[in-house]
Amino acid sequence: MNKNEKLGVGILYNASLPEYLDKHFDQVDYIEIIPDMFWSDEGRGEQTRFRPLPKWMRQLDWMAERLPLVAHNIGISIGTMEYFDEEYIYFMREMNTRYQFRWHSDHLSFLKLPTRGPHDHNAGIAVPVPYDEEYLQMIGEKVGFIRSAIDIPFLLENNVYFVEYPEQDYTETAFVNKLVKNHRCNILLDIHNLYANSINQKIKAKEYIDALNMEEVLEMHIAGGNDMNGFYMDSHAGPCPDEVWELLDYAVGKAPNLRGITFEFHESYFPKLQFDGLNRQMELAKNIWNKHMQKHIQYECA
Amino acid sequence: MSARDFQLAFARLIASPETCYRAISAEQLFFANYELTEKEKKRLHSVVRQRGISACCSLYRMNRVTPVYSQLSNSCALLGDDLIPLVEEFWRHLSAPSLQFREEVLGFGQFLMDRIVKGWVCVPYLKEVLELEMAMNELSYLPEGECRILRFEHDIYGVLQALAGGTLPDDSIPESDTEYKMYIRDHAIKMDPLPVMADHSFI
Repeated sequence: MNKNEKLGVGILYNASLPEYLDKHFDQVDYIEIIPDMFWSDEGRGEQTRFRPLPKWMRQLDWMAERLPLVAHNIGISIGTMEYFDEEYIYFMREMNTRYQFRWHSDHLSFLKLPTRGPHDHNAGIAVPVPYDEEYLQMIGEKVGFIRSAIDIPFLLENNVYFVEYPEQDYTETAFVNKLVKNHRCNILLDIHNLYANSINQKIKAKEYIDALNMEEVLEMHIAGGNDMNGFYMDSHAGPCPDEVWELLDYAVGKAPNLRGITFEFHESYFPKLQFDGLNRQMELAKNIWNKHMQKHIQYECA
Repeated sequence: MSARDFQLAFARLIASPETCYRAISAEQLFFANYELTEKEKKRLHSVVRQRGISACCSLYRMNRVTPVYSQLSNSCALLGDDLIPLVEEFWRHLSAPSLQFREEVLGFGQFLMDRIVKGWVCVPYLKEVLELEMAMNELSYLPEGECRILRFEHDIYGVLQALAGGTLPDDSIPESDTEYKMYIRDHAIKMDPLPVMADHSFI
């Protein structure tokens, strides 16, 4: 397998997709899965901790025969202090041996909080970590473990956030840049999260991209959202807004090592998108992908 | 320990708007539950007063109710406006959730069934629909070959048909004392009626 293989435009798997993939899998260059959806976690220390869900595993095997797979975790909870679930990482290693993920990722946040077990308390939403030196060191050590256990690139995703911690040691971009430089991980740049933050927190999205080490960005996420009580939510609600396409175009042009763009939507919005709507999102993303990949190739030839 | 306590305190705020109010009105009392540095206290003091904390609380509630709503959808439709007070009561019983689908869905289902059996929740057809949805959920975690025996006092297909049409079943659904065997075959859930026993009292 080519370790720098550029995949193109993919889609995040959800329960509404089997019918679409059955008829339109030629529209999709790869599939990103959330591995946690395919098994039931019986809790830390249990003899058979991860029980595959038969129906879901059949779908996974079907996809793996046809398209490259990428894993997007929600269960590592890399930002939780005094907690690291090695069993989870070892199970991901088994999954990777079986499915040959091109890369895997998780969020720069904490979700799980340790209890006596077997199940951990789940915070219910991905909570951003404070961008402090203490957290940088802690996350860096975990990244080192993950990289040594699973020999594929590991990416961390920028957060969407609704509250800000005062007195942080670093800006988000400085924190991420230092993390990827010192600890051999890469970046999953979620363009829609960035867009949501630009609305809710008034951050300047293009300045964020300019400040980020874009050479380390291997994947980008795009999605739609909606308004709720005066906030713009990262709800994956159907098609991407125009501003997301514009930001994607801007970001892809600055990411020479980009390997994939993934469209995310929540399954409850499938009736709104339908096959044609999904094809349209894939087509728009491919236009941007093709435009910039040709440029990158030209620069390399020159 | 303090960073871990900071994360726990923040998670408690997200999980409960009432805790947010308490953290504002009696801050020292709230802080006393945790080992926090001055910087962490300052951060919690700040975030609980930011407008965005309400978005965090709403997201938490949406994420937590989604498994129940998606896996017990017909039961939720029958409950209508009674759903939210009931899930909130369930959440108070399960205050450190893992948010595993099985734990949330089957846990809430059992909690609801308990209240139905005790007569605290009285909604026509709810007991039968909930039993059906619980059995479907349980089987989805098991290998093919497992089965559940269900007994319905009404024409369950009539009930489901009304719900599928977006209406609540009225009292015209015929009574029908029928047992079914529910199982998974060829990746699909099947339900076969069982032969009627001549006289159950001899069993």
